[in-house]
Amino acid sequence: MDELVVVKDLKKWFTVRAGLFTRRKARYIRAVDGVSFSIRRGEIFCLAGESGCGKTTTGRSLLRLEEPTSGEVTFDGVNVFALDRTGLKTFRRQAQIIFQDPYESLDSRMAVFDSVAEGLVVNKIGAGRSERIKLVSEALEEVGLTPTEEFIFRYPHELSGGQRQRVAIAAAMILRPKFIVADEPVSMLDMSTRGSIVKLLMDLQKTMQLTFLFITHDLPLMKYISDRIAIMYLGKIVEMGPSEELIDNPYHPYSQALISAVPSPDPDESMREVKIKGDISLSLEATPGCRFASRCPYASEKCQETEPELLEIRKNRYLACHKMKRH
Amino acid sequence: MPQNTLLDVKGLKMYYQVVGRRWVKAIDNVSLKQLKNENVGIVGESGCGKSSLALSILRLLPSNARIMGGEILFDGTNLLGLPEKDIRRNFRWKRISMIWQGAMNALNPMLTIGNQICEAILVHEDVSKEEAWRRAEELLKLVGIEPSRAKHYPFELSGGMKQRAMIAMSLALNPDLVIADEPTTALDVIVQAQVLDLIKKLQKEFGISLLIISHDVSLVFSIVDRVAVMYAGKIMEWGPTSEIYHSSMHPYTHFLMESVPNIRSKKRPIGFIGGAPPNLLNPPSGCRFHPRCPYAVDVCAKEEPPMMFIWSEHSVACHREDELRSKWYG
Repeated sequence: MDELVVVKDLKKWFTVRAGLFTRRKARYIRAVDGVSFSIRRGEIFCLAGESGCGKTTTGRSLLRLEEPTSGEVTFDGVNVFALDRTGLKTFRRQAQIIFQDPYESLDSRMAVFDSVAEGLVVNKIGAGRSERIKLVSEALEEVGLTPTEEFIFRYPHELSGGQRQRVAIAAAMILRPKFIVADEPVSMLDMSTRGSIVKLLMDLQKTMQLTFLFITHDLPLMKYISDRIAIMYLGKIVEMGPSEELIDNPYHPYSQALISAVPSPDPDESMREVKIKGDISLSLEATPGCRFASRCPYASEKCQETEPELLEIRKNRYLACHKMKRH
Repeated sequence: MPQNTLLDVKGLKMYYQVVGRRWVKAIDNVSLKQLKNENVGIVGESGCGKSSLALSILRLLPSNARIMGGEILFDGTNLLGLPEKDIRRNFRWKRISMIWQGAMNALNPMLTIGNQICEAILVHEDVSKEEAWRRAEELLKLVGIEPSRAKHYPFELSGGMKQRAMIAMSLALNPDLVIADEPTTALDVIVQAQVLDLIKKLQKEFGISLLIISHDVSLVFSIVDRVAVMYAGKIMEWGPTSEIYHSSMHPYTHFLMESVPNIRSKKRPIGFIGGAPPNLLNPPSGCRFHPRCPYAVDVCAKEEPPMMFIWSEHSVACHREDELRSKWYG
């Protein structure tokens, strides 16, 4: 299996404005601070972590929706950050994004047809309205909004949350992309409809040989559907590996805490004790050492001084930790 | 009523009036019983009426809401029969308090958290300002916030800390019942676990009963003793949590459980329920779940199923409960 997306040492720092009249140096929030991973063709890869860990910024930067501070992303062998306007347009046809909130991602004044056909218009696909109606109808059929005549000229407020997300998926699929970034695509939906959207995405993935990057905090769902998972903490990947294996047996103290904190719906399984204290705290200063050290129950002096690298400690299992190396 | 019943909701009906003199039947004949020192959960999807139920118990309904029938007995007193003044003075906050949905935004941004807790104490109890402040600091300490933080404003605290401050406030008057509506939805999972640990610890210490309302099945099921599954303004199934999880009898509960992934179990396909919840202006005839139910038969569209007891603690509202029980559990 070859690699469709390769991310090398990606960084995205946001400048925090120093006061207007002060001479203080500009400071940075290191939202993404040296992230490397690759996504294989046909794979469902997941970036997981708590809010503020940089997972969304990573996804947006690799699509160049956000200009990165440094690093390299290649998509199908092409350097994404070197693309000019035309190149970028071709790239965007192949790489689409689905957002969390279908209430916000669709324009409330645009009918379903206009939202879905927007990509066709931008890319000058389909001659005239009748052909575009045909293409949009096909896309709606693929996402299960049938009979399509009933949906094509409706407005977002007339649709349920699940239906809106289907429209957003149709809009992403109509350009026949190879790669989809899905940022929390089901977290706004009700439990009972969530599964149907997940199934739709999985079916599309199979029939169209799509590659997926899921960005989510929903670890139970990722255990069920993703192939590989990378856990992020404060702008870094701390652990990466096959999803089921990693979630059943995490190595990094942070992954361990994160996974044990997820409640189980089975009341006969007792809650696990959460060993770590405190809350994620964004630091504006670059500190040496491991970013998790201040909360880590196993931290030693070395952890405060040098930052651990993400290393393959076992086949397919990557870990950035000084302490848990010998597994 | 037995001595140990804390809350007894009987046949509650609460409708919202909307434009054109039409009624949204948000809560339609709901009954629920909670014992002292027991935790009860209400799970359901958005718009199923679970938050309206909480507001009814606290008598905090908006002006277009009307109670159409039923009783809410709290420790033997029917709250629906009392004047607002009485509720405010003797029940709300004092005996029944609430942790709001998105509690972090329910705090007043203009007051320090210490002052907000003091306010709650001073309104209900005849104590000096100094004494109230001392208690506020104690409460903050209890929920794991440095007492010196009492002088801080909400914006100076993290989300988890604001939630803790909210919990401190809900405990200020030592209530019997705390209603928590989506208590941890806005929090990250580690902070959520910390807050849950705290709630459980405080509950043991103070003998408080919790009524937790959430769409998050995993969250509710991991802390409550008994659970009510609500759908479209009705309770579909009611029973001990473990039974609801392992041997649910209602098709809605059954498919809901299949749609919830469990991080500690093996990979399996995720279930779902086709269609969407109904509009409660004009709810479906018969069983409100029948348009989405794969087991629906003629009678389901015609007659509303009554709540039937499987045994004294577990009841379900489904016409086909008998058949489905043997189909699913042999």
